[in-house]
Amino acid sequence: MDEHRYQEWLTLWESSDTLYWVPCNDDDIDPRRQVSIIYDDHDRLVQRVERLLSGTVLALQPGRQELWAGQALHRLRMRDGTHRILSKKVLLNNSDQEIPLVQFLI
Amino acid sequence: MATEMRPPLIDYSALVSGARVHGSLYRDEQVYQRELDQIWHKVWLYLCHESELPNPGDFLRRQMGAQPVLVVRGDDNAIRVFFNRCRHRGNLLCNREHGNADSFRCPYHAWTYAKDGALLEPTFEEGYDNNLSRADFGLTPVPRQDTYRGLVFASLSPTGPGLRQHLGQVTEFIDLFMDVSPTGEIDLNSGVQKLRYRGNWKLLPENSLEGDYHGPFIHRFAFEMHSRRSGLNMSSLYENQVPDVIRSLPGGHMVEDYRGASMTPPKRAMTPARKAYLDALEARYGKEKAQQLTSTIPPLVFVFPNLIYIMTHIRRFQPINVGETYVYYHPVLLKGAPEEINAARLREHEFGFGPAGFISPDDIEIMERNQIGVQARGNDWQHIARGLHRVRQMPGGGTAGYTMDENHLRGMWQHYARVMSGESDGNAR
Repeated sequence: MDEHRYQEWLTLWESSDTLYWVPCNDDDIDPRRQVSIIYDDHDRLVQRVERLLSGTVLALQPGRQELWAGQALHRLRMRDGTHRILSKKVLLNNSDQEIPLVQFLI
Repeated sequence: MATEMRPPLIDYSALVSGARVHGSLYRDEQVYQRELDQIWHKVWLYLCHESELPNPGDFLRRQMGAQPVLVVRGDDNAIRVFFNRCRHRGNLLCNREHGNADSFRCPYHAWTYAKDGALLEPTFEEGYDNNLSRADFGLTPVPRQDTYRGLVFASLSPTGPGLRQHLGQVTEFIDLFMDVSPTGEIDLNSGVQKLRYRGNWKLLPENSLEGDYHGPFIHRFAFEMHSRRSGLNMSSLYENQVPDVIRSLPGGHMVEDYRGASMTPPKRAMTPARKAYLDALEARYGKEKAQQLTSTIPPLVFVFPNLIYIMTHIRRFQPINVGETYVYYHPVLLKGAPEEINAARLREHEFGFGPAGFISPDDIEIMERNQIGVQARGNDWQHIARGLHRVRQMPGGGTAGYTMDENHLRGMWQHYARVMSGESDGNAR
């Protein structure tokens, strides 16, 4: 992640039933009724990586160094002897404040 | 004899002239102060929707220009807007952004107020020789407040046109996006994405109602993705420029009105939930209107100066200083629609909008670059003449143009110039 090797990072994930989640306003919200900053199933996550690597994202031409504070919670599943990421939930310290745009994976 | 030093008066009718807008309007501190006086502290501002305060005691903090206010639902169910200022020595009465409270206690010396603003308790009353008249020290309500379809507006000016007069023709378009709810009511109780950008507040309304123009350029990935999925040929957007889509309305409002356009909303799977939703719409409106509502893209709406409606959400924004703005994305859910429909609306909103969407961040980035660009003083004029040769003056006032025309910007800026120069009291005309 630190080296922006996003395609490789994607291969660490399960290929379905996955969730990449950055809640908004509070750490524990009901995503069926409350909006999130990011709530990606597998397809959306793949698209997100594709977008970041497409070269068309204005905010990455070039990107700015930014610091974000928070906690990342991973759930893993064992498959064929290796661990795969089933879900990643990022609890951003600033999820209830006015933040700049988020253009990288966190 | 002392001479009072004043900054030279600015002639706003010279800075907004025909199809040109001067760059100083985005960067000048004196202009910003005048905007506070003439716009943010006078004109009707959108604060919140009633659904954000469902229960008595629910409260929200909001800003009206530089002035903090507190919106509270009382025990009588009425929503009141107060200055968020303790009557004792002016402390910020309520620091929390939102919540539910039985009363409001100032953190400084514990003066306590009821939900309807009455002063309950000034602490150590004997210090006033028991002479403090509580009735004189209740929370100060803002001069005017009013509501349209549950949207709560307030004005810091005690005089001027009423809310309906200010809204004028834009109510027709507010109705269109509200009516897609089977009960005719939206629900804004699903959280809010909060974002800030380093740019002047006026860049946002300029950016928000022209997705068909800048979209394929700055949102290239999202547009190509949509094109692949829907089979829509992007170049057809340019070939099929549609008249009467881009509208300016009296009062500085702007609309993208898709009712005459050939573009249709994305096809959706006919799940049981969707069928129930469509049946509910038909039950409320009859077959014909229900058909119209679901076969056209709802309008994009800008209500001068601080409210935008786009597809999935209401966007509220406020200036922090001349080069910084806060933006709030409130997803719009529909009362009376099945939970599955509303959950899908949330997912759809998250795809495009907010700090990590596939669309909003490009708008934010382009506005930040715009703020840098207008610092350059050479040829210090924005050129907003697109479609000038084919603009249609509408019978009720306002103008209509083709997709990608800039008549809506000319309308907004002309209204802005009148309000800033004091010629207009903000009246929609």
